[in-house]
This record gives sequence, structure tokens and C-alpha cells, in this order.
Amino acid sequence: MKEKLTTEWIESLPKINGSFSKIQQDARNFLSEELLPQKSSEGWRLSNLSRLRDVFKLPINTTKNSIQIFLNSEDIVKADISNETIERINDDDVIKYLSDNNLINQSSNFLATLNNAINNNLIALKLKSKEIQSLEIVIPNSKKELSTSRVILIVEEGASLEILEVIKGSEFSAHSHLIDIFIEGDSTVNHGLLAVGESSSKLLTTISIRQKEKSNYSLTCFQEGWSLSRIEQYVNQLDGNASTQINGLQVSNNQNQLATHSLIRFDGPGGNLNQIQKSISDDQSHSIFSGSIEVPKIAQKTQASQLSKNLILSSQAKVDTSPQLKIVADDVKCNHGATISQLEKEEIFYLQSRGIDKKRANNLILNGFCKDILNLLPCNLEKWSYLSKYLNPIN
Amino acid sequence: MTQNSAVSQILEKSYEYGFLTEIESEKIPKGINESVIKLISAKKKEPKFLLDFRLKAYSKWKNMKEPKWADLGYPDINYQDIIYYSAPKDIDKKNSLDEVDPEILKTFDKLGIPLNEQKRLSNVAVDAVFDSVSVATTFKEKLAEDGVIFCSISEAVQKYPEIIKKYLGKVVPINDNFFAALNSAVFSDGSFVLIPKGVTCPMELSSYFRINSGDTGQFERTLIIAEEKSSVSYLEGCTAPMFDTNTLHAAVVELIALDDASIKYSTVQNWYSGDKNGIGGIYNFVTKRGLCKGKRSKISWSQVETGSSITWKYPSCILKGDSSIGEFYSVALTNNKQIADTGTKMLHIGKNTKSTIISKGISAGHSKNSYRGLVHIGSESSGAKNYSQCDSLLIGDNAEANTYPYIHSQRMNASIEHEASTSKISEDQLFYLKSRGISSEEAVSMMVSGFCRDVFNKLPMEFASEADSLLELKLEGTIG
Repeated sequence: MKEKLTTEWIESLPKINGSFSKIQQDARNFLSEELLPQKSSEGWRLSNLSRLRDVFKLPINTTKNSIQIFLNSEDIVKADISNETIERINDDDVIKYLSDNNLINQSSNFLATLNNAINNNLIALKLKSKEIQSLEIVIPNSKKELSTSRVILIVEEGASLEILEVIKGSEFSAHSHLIDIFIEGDSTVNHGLLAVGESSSKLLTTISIRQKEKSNYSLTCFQEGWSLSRIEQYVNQLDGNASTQINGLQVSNNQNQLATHSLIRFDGPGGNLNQIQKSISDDQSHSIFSGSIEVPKIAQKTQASQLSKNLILSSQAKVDTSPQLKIVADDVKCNHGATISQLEKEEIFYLQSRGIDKKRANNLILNGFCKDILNLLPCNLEKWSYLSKYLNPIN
Repeated sequence: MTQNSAVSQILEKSYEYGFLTEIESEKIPKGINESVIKLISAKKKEPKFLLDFRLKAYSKWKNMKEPKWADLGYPDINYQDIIYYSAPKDIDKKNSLDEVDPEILKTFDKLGIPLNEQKRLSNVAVDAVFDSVSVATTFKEKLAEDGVIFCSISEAVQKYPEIIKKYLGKVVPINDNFFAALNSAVFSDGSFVLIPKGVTCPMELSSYFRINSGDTGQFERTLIIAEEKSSVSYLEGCTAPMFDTNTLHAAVVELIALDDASIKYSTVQNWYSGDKNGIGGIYNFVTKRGLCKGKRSKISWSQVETGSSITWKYPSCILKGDSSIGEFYSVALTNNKQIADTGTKMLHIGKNTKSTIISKGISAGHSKNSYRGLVHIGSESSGAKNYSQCDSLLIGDNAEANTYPYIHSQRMNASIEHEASTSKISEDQLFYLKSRGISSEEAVSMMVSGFCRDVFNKLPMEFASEADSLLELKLEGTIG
């Protein structure tokens, strides 16, 4: 399957003008020259590539300005608000930021390049307030189309921010989404991503985070129900001495294939990372986690831990997990762990012996397994009703 | 008898497990092509099936590409510049130990290698007491009483062609990987072991003698078969440093365990690792795989890897028989510019199969030490269990420790646990030991030894006692 994207497809893409046209053209040139991801490449070895190819059979959703953003529940895109808390950044400043802080090597990263090539919805914001602000970002969705979106956030020194991104998939829809967050020193970002798909929907997402010294970043990622979903997380502690928490939960059923690929790199000493990735796989679904932690020589006194916990609920479900450490600095404490199992028989028996029937016992345990992660989402979950089945064990 | 005296006794008599294979001392031209392979096969008077095996492997190898995924960064190997059939080399015999490099002798002393051994290892002519041929006969007789076959693979090809035909290349197919295909085409010699039904091999079998015997171990091939209810422990290599001018070593080891059989395969590898700047040294690219074919069979790999400039090997277990067990215990130590990329694959196919992986990596100097492993639970493997633990210890801030575990499960009632940690030697512990008058170097070596204890406990006694001093020696000069 050595295929390229066809020239016709690339040429049919809507063109943009202005500062981003060069980035877009470079990315398109790259796509027209390079092959699509191959099984032989390590990062795509386990992916269902025929489903990936289906993404490129869809027409592009050309609706402009369809990203909805609410600051403390106020729609700031429609109202075009700029005040002491938040301001829109002009394209030239955005380009400068991107070129100064390029974490993802765009020449080798397929998802980011794809987004650069096809994106026609971009919003860039700067957050300045010292009080906790809450930002809700709703990503556009369209049936039988490939929707694209890119969000760039610059969180200024001392700011404190909660972000909830919501991506919903509908039948035969596909998404290409890229979010960049630059976190300046002494600021705190609590980032949640809810990605809920339907049977044939597909999601390709890149999360790219750059953290300065003394910043705190926490990501909680929930994905469920996509026919193909791939979330790539890149976190770079630019000068170390920052704190990062990453939590993830993947719930797959039917023939879903859900994947999380993360790369956390410490480019300075004294960094801290705590990562927990969980999955529940039912029916014939396939859950993938590949996590990499890089600790170069400069990153002494780094403490990093990574844990992958996986439950298999059906005899036809599959789990692949690969937590990886690359360490050169010697004065570090790093560990990782992984488990794959079904529900513990002892735990179910314990609950049953207390008069709880088997089905409810199962639900209770699954619920606890999920809640560990879901409770960390920075939002009032009741609003997103489809999570209720994980939050409400009695049903 | 104390453990030490028992060990030294065993060490003294380590010769008795040797044998000598006579190879004509003719040379063939450099390079590899069909006629070279036909020539090798003809010189070894091999039956047609083996020539076909070699030729098939060669035709597969020609179309294969050298794997690059491990990112080992070694210069390209010129495969046409290797002599694929080397009869014993005519090395100038030295007259006494005085002519040997004093550095080497110092190393031998530290390892506690007996004087006669030292002479033999450093190529000093040895006296008649160590006439291996006569000793070989004694131990062969003893093994023959139990029906154990232990001989060189060339000899086995002549004597037991049916068995070789049945098993050779069955665990590691000829086109398994680039280096296995090359080995299948040109393998020179190696060991063959067959333990008949119900027999527990009366002694530990060792390739110790063979590897040192001057004929090259460059393309070794080992095949061990344990029939129903039999058991064997096989030792490969030795702690003494091995000097060899061949850069590439591509060995293949195949183990087959039938119902209720058990094979324990232990390796101590201390090939020449190059100098401090990483010049010279051996590329040790080995394919080792065991097939637990029968029910309740067991294969256990244990290894201490300290040598070679690049070590690239993954001793694996295919757990096909129900309730079969696979084990992997490894210590890999790298120093200076060495690279070790090692680990294991546990492929769970049968029901209720179990595997244990314990890997300890120690990186010092500018070296790079990676654990790379796969645990695969197939869809039929209900009740499978795996436990993995990989720990890394970093000494100095220029060494690299990587962990790449791959875990794949297709079975709901299987359980897999993996844990890994990386850290440096704790300052507190070091301080504690130093405050009791122990030098830094000694303290570090004590801690390293403790770090590796889980694995050393699994080594046969002969190796275990030497392993500590071997690591100590290898770490010399890394502290302070």
C-alpha cells in the first residue's frame, strides 16, 4: 500500500491567503511528495491504515469561523471580545511564535503537516488574567465531511486557565485538529479534551504544549467511540523546573480503534511528570498507547512516572501498550508500569458477597476505574450528558 | 565444602566438557556467492538437504535489507570482505606467559582464572595435561551412558542427518531476519545437543571449550532438543575476555522443548568491546529463540552481557504448548562507547502459559543500554500470565538507558504486569558505605552486585561467582 495523496485531491483543497499561505503551501508540497503513513513506520505500525485512507475520500468542510469559544460561558468569537483578560493575536505574531517554538518536526509529523495543509479554521488567543478563567472550545463537526481546526493559545506569565475542548463526531465525519499552547512561567493550565465519536467517525488530533519554567500543565483526555482516533500529545518542558500531569482514558467498543501517542521531553533540569493512561476495550475494539519520555543530559533531577492500565472486557478485543523511556541524565528518578487484565474476580466477588448483583458490581468497578480520570476534567460534567453512563453506576 | 572451593574445583576441570572438531586448514576466497556456499558445503561433506537449506537461505538473504530500526549507528559492513569459511588460523604460538600483554594477564588475575587457563586463553602452547582430545573422550563416554548426544553440529549432520533435517531452521526460519538468513547460508559450526526422553542430563553442558578453540565462532549455530520429560542446562561463553579479529558475529541458537522438558540456557558474553574510544570491538548480532513445543515445557534464558562493542540480541520464547513457561533473566552492562540493545520476546500461544522477564541494565561511560522487549498474548492463550521488570542503573551523566517494552494482548483473562525504573546509585547508600571505610569504587560495585542479585541467583554456580568480579572489573575507573 505505497500510496500518496493524489495531486487532484491536494489541488482541490481550498486555498487561504495571508500570512499562513506559505506554511500551507509547504505542507501541501510535503504531502504531495511523501507517501502516506506505512505499516513499516514505527508510529503507525498498529494503525488501521485503510480507515486512515478513508479520511481522504471525504470533501473538506469549508465553513469558516466555525470554532466556538466561550470565555466564562460568554461567546467570544461572535462578540469579538478583546479586553484585559483575552485578546486575539494577529497572524504575523502567531507565525513568529510558531517559528520560535517548533516542537514537532513538521517534516516528519504526518498529522501536524496534514493539519497545516488543509486547515481553514484558525483561532489564536492570548490569555493575560491572573484570576482563573475558564475557556470552552467547541470544535466544528459536519456529516460526511472532513472538518479542520487549529487553536493557538498563549498563556501569559502568571495566568491561570481552565480549558475544555469538545470534539464530537457524527456519522462518516472526520476531524483534523491541532492545538498549540505556549505556557509562560508561573502560569497554570488545566486542559481537558472530550472526544466522543460515533461508529464511523474519525479523529486525527495533535496537542502540542510548550512549557516554560515554573509552569503547571495538566491534561485530561477522554476519547470514546471513534472508528479511528489518534491523539498525539507532545509536551516539552523548555527549561525544566515545570510540572506536567497527563491523564487519559480511552473507552472503545464495536470495532473502534483508539490510540494515544505521547512524547514528553525535558530540556532542562528539575522537571516533573506524572502520567496515567487508562483504557477499557470491549467487543472487537483495539486500544493503543505508545508513550515516550525523553530525558537528555541537561535534564538532571527529573522525576517522571508513567503508568498504563488496561482492561479487556471481551475475548475479541485487543490492547497494545508501549511505555518507553529514553534517559541520558544520571541523576533522575523515572519509572513506568503497565498492566493488562480483565476485571479482578476478587473485587467482583467482594461486592457480590455484599449483596450487589454481578452486573452492578461490574459497573461499579468500571465506574471507579473511569472516575479516577474523569474527575480531573476541568468542567461541570453534567453538561456533557453522554458521560453520565460512566459517572452514574446505578444505571 | 565451601562454595568458593567448589567453584574453583569446577573451574579447574572446566576442560573436560570440551571436544575438538577437525577442520582442514584450507582457505577459500573472501566474499559470499553461491559457489562459496557450495564450496563450504562440499568441504564439510554435507548431505544435499543442507546444501539446499544454505542455498535457499542465501537467495532469501540476497533480497533482504540490513535492519536499521534499532538505530545502532555502526559503520556499514562489507559482506564481500568476510571469509565465510575459516579453518583454524595459524596463530603464532607464544612460548610463555611473559610474552603476553601484561594488561590481559592482570585481567585474568582479577577474574581468578587458573594459570593453565590463562595460558590457553592467551594462546600460549599448553602441556599435555590439557590435551583436550583425551578429556573429551572421557566426558563423551559418560554422556553416552545416558544416551545424551552432545557434539558439534557438523558431526551431527554426518551422524544424525534425519534429526538435523527435522529440526534445523524450524524455530528460527531461514528468512527470519537478515543476520539469521546470513547465518543459515554460511554457518561454520556450533553445538548440537539432544537429550532423550526421560533423561536429566548428568552434567552442565558447556560450549566454553569450543569458543576458545581458535576456530571462529563468527557464524555459530546451536541446536538443542530436549525430548519428553528430559532436562538440560547449557552454558555458553565464559567470563574471560575474548579477543577475536572478526568484527561481525551472527550466531543462531534454536531450542526445542517437548512435553514436560526443560532447557536452561545461560550465557556470559565478554567479547572484545573495543577500546575506550570505541575503536574496534565485536558486533554481536545474535538470533536466539526457544520453542516450548510440548505441554508443561519450560525454557529459561539467563545472560550476562558485558562485552562486544554492539550487542543486539533478543533471546525469545514461543510458548506454544499449554502451561508452558518462559523465563528471561538478564544483566547487561555497558561502559565506554559500548551499545547493548537487548531484551526478549515472549509469545504466548498456548493456554495457561506463563512468562517472567527480569532485566537489569547498567550503563556507564558514554555507553547506551536499551531494553527492548515484546509480550504478546494471542487470542487462544487464555489464562496467560506475564510479569516483567526492567531496571536501569546509570553511572555518570553521559550514559544512556532506554526502555522499549511492547505489550500486546488479545485475551481478556490474561494478566500482564510490567514495571520499570531508572535511577542512579543513591548518594545516601554510597555515603553509608563510605562512612564505614569502604572505598567509593568498592561501594559502587557492591551496590551493582545487589542490583543484579535477582539475575545472578538464576545463573549456574560456575558463572554466578565470577559474574560479580566480572562486573566489578568492567566498571573499573568509572567512579570518581
